[in-house]
Amino acid sequence: MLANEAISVMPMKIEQIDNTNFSITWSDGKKFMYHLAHLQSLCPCAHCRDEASGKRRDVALKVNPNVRAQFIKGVGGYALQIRFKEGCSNGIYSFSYLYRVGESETWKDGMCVN
Amino acid sequence: MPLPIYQGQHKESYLDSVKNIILIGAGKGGVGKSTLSVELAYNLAKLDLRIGLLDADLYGPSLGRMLSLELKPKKEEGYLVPGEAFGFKLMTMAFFRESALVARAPILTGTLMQFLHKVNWGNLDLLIIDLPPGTGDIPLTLSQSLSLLGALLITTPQKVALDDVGKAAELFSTVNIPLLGLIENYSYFLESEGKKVFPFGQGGAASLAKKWKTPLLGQIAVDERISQSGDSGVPFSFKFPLSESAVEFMNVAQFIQRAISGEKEDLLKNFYMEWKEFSDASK
Repeated sequence: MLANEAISVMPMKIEQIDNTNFSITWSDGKKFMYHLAHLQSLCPCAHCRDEASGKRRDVALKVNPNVRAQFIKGVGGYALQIRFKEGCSNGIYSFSYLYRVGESETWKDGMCVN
Repeated sequence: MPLPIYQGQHKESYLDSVKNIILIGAGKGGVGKSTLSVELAYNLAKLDLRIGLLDADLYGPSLGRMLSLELKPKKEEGYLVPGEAFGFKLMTMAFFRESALVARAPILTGTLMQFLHKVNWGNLDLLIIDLPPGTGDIPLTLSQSLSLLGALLITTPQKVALDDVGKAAELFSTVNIPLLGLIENYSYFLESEGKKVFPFGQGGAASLAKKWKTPLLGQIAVDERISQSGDSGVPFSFKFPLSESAVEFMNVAQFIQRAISGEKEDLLKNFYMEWKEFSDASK
């Protein structure tokens, strides 16, 4: 489970790369890639994730590894919400959370390998 | 490089004609938040800004009682019209609680969010939302759906109040609502010879402001005339414009005015990116 403390890095640029991936360039200069299905499997909403343990709940909807999005929008000044074409779209992904997700991942040949 | 911005909003809302929104909060009740909200609204209106004040405390004292309203709030077909007094517009949820309109107004028994979008404010430079006391989820809900300029927190000098307002500051910080500043109410008492005494302690708000790296915008005296203004229905600053506290209120209003005009477009709050389908992609 990723730490939930707020950090002050902000997204400077959000760009779609292809049908299932986008990148965020952060205010500290780092650029991380994000895969739609992977993010959906990390959905932080109360239905998908157990608040106490941080683990994905059994009742969470299965994620289509090729899931697409309809749009991504800003929420308040601190998060993104992704409207997926299927599965759960209730997650509010804070910038802190997204930064930590991006930071903790390894990408090789355009695919997330961990 | 700028982020793509979505122009306009998906659904119609009377908030579209409101340029800025600030929250007035306090950790606990009884710090004089509603009285101060009225004084701020009045002084901002004196600066020729178009001001609206929303009293969001459904169960608190009705601001409608606190102000003699030239025009009372009323209900039209599908929307609410704010009352007007002393140069600014006022809507209070508690006002409707007391009238027979409640039974026939299902929109008023809904959430604060529904209520907010139904008030026909017209063109406002600033809407002030006077929050219920405490640190419930209302600031979180508001921050997720509204573009907020920031929050002002009211405290008194006592340690207990400071602890509570510290929690409120923490909550606002978690959802990235900027803390515009603190105001210390009941800060001191002015004796007849002009000497200041501090019946509730001294320096607490200043150190909290320092801890949260936010300005201490004003320190309001213990002045029975301020409390009495709530009963008389006329703002204290209107009756005693040259008093020390009225000058303090005007200072705070001018600070807010500068915050409004200095605000640049916050691209992130209105960020919207349509997801495209690339026909030649294999992924």
